[in-house]
Amino acid sequence: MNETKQPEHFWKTHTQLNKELHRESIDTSAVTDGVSRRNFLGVMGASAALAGVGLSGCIRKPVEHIAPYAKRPEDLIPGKPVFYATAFALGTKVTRLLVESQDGRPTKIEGLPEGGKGGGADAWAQAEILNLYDPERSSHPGTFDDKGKKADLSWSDAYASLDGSMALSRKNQGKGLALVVDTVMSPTYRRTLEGLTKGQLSGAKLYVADPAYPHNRLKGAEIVAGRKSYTTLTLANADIVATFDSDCLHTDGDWSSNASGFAEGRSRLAADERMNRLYAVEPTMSLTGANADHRARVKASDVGNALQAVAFRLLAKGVGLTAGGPKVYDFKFPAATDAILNALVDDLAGNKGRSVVVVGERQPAWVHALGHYINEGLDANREIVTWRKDSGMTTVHQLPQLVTDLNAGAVDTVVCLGTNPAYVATGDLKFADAYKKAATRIHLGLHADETAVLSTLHIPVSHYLEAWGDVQSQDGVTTVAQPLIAPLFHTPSLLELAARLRDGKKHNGLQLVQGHLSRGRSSSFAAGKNTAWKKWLFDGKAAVRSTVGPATASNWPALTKAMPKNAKAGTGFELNFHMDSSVYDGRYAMNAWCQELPDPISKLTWDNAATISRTMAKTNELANGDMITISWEDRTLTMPVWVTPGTADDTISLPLGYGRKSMGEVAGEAGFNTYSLQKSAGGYNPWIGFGAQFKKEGSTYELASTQHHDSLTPYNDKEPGTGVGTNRRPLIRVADKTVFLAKPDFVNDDEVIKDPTKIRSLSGRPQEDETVYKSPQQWGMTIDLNTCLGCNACVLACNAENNVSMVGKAQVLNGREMHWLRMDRYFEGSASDDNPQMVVQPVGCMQCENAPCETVCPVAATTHSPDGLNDMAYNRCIGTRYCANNCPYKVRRFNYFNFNTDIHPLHQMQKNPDVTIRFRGVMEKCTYCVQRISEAKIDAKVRGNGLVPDIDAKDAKSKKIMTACQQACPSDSIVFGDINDPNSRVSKAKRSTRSYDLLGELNNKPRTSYLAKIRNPHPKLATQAEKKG
Amino acid sequence: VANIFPKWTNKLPTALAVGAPIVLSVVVAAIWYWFSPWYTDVGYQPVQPVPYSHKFHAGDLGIDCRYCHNTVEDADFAAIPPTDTCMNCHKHVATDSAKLELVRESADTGKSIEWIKIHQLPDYAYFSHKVHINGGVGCVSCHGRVDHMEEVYLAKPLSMGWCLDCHRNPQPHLRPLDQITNMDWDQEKAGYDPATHVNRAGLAVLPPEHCSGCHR
Repeated sequence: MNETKQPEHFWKTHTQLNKELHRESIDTSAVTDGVSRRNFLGVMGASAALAGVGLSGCIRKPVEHIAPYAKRPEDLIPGKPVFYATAFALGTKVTRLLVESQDGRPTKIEGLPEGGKGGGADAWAQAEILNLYDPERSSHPGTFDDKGKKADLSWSDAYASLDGSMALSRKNQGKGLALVVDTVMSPTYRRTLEGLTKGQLSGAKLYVADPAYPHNRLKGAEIVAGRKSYTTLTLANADIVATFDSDCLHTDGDWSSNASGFAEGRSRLAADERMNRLYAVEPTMSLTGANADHRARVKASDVGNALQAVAFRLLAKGVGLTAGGPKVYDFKFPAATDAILNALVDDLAGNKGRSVVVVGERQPAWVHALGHYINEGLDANREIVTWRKDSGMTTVHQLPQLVTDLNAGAVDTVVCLGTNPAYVATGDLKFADAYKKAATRIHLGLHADETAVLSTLHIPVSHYLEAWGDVQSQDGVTTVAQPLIAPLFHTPSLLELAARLRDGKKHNGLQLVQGHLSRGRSSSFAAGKNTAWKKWLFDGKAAVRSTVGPATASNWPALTKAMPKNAKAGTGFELNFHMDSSVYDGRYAMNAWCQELPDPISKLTWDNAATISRTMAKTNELANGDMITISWEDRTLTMPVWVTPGTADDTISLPLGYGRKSMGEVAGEAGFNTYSLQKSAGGYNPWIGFGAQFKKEGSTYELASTQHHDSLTPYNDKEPGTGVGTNRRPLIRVADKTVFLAKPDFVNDDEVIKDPTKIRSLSGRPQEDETVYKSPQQWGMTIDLNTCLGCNACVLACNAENNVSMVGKAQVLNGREMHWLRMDRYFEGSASDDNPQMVVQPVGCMQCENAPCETVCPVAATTHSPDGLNDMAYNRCIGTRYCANNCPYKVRRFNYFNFNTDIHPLHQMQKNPDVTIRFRGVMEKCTYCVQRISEAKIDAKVRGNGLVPDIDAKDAKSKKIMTACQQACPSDSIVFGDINDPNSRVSKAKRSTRSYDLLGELNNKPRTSYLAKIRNPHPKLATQAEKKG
Repeated sequence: VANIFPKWTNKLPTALAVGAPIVLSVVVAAIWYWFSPWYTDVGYQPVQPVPYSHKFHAGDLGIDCRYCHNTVEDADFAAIPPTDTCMNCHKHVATDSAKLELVRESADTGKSIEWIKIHQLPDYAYFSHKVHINGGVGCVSCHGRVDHMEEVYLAKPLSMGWCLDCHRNPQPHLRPLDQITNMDWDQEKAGYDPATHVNRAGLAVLPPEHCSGCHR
């Protein structure tokens, strides 16, 4: 038994601790979808008869045709994928991408690699490929009647109608014209939009309708810097990071680059290096809080006060914050929170220049401004925070203003450009009623969405992979977004339509982008003859003068004015709205990959739920799935609750983005529309709601959470005999940095069988007799739990690369989700703790050398390759599922149904042609992306020296390999390569003293090993943490 | 006791002892042959939309395979040539041949000619022309004497067993890289010693025999 860790140290849910759930894998055999045994036998008889007919009658394969190009483009090799650099913006977060195109159809989106790193495209950026091929995309312009019924229009009629409306607006000098836009990160589009409010249209107004638009962040910066500005973080330079209600590693700010920088600081593990320390003060468990060394559970309305207290205590400590700052007050907090704030103040004060405070978008502007004030005092603006002016449109109005203008009859024409205000408008605005007051309502967008059905004209637009565009990231780098495919539905791009609004003429997106980016360059450039343009496309970076100049924060008296005079929290329950980890603000609700992606904390799929703390659940006698009705002012919403550790008491956390009932098969059934509860009129901060009430409904709702699916039980004292000769399974190994330094090989203390020579196979043979692997290269992987944040980017990358089927909510409830890579999430601490720490562990096939699955397969469908892969021959599999039963890691997935027959032709276009599409009755699992390995091996045989070069190899002659999960990881936690090569990156990682095998005592000899997580608690709080553990 | 079994039944055991093995062998042999791809697949010769003669172009005229199938060394697939490739010559030669009607139409309209696929592998088997061509396996090894075929037919079974025969013992099928497309070349006649054979990168040829070598 480990000295410090109690049996219940790691756990998954409170219910688990109540001993209600002790199953290793959910019993899927019991569920046969209403097919009785008799029925089943009958069907089997029929299939046998059919099989006989099949054998005699259908021996010849069906006739297949080959349709070669009539004129093959130069340099195009059919069947060979081509990669294009492009970029995409989600809110203000810009991701530079490399998109794979197979014979003209884009199939996979990855981050643009840089210096041996993947480039870190998050789950959403990758999921965009499925949005492109969404069969529910709007394909035809139309007009909607009062009942929301669509009447198709021809393209020429639609354009005539659009041009006619705009001609009228021009006549009125743009008076009464409202242009509703989203967050604009494209310089060309931005200039086009600005042009729409000038000249003949000078009376037109721009409104922004985008939950991802950082109102609070920009306003906070405006208070102290005099103008809207972005602050980007270089977290690699920070030793102390304190987040205040900011999920800056997952959904807030420039999260991928933050995650990468944070991971860099996490990896400073040598004795003479400064490992970073993360503090999180937040109302609901975000991934950032889950990865924090210290996390204070504070109501959203108290976060600003906590920051004030930090400022107060810093001043009290004599840390010279800039003169002229506001008067700040101390606040009283519960002892645990107080201790964390004190430690935080201690650290901030002791690390000037290397510490930073990060305030989240959900907090009001004055908290942001106060954060800037503290950062200035901490000297963080030198190396960590970079200030840049927002080059965005100077005069944009907010949605409440639009509703006011509409109700006042000041607007007669509304054009929604790629926005969906009818869905994202807060409930109090009653947007639909106001919208209908405008006579002409034009909607330009990807879907016939909630706004489109209220509009008089809807015109579908192109996906960004179908259109020319450009994107400028917060740090000022411009990328040309080039199209990968011609518009599937012959749609114009938003940029082209915006330009058309101005003059009623047809525009070409490429010319618009080139025209804007080539200002001040020679005319040959604009004509595309210049090689610089091609280089920009190739590099994914355009060498244009950055339009975002530096900004400085210095106006501290303005902060004093902005600070609330009476910062007392409201009464009643607090509603706490936030972006969803799977569908973001709802724009990914129609994406099955995102819907089925388990939330990193709650593990919920296909739904959102009102998350509450354990204490609150207990006092109100609520359990998971209980329906509650939340009422706030005149708005009510009935939805289920989900008990989530880490949520502040008296707080109901509500993820946005669900309940899009009219949006088709994928989104229609999923979740509840929490926008309908929100309030934003009169400058109200829409993210936090005060004075709400709730009552228990008495009914329940079935939520599909994967938290017990195929999971391993870490400590299992109550059910002896589940481990081999032990009742304990040290799956997760964690230590504080001090412990790690004192005992670098601490992971070995956790080994169940300490003497490696005593480890034997199930068959009892000693280790030395085991299979010998003949190939010169042996594949292996390490996953660094120290830098893994649990962001799910790898899970989605795996889905996209390996044609993994989505199964829907009903089948998730049956435990039949097909994800090859799952994210195990454990809470750490005592059972009664409302604020536990969290550890995540991605688990895919371990490619065991002594694979237990192989010995039980009756048909040898799963066997070993000489390079150490646990191969799976799908066509050989007869579906006994013995292998899955014998797999101690529970990583094999069975196709209970034909998920791949009758898939929509558009979805077919996304499928990776290099990976077999699996049929019903076949087992499947992670293969270490064997298709990428095979391709690289072939390349090494033809062009190289026969060996696939390591990812770090300098002068590689042939292709290198990155697995899809590794490529997607923003924090570079997954390393794959040849473990026979002592100099490979993976061999170096495996030599780390933190490296351990999962269930090593079983002598499976897994090829994937984990690097233990290291925490860096404040010395004063460390003892407390130890006591807790 | 009544005579239940007539007398001829005495011969039954002998007849069974002699007959059963024969019948069984015939059944086994029948399945062995008629159920195997050697019978079911070899010889598949669909009628193509254009009566293109490989015998004439590749055999009599001696056009190299790679003039038309030009991606074979760089890609997994030996691409069927675009219509443009046909028209390189047929702009000048046999310009009004009735047989070329569809080719001219395709060149004019840009519409593909829909050839019928003969060498079909199952979707779960991944074959790379690139590695075979650069490794020293000639076209003829898998496609037969295409230079003798008026219309192409499937010459080899392309079954897994047939693939593995070569993967387990590749030496008899290897040839120098400059003889890849030579359909007449013979290891014995040329006096080639496959033991010294190396591929394009100067490496010994070691074909995979494990599942993921071909199944992904």
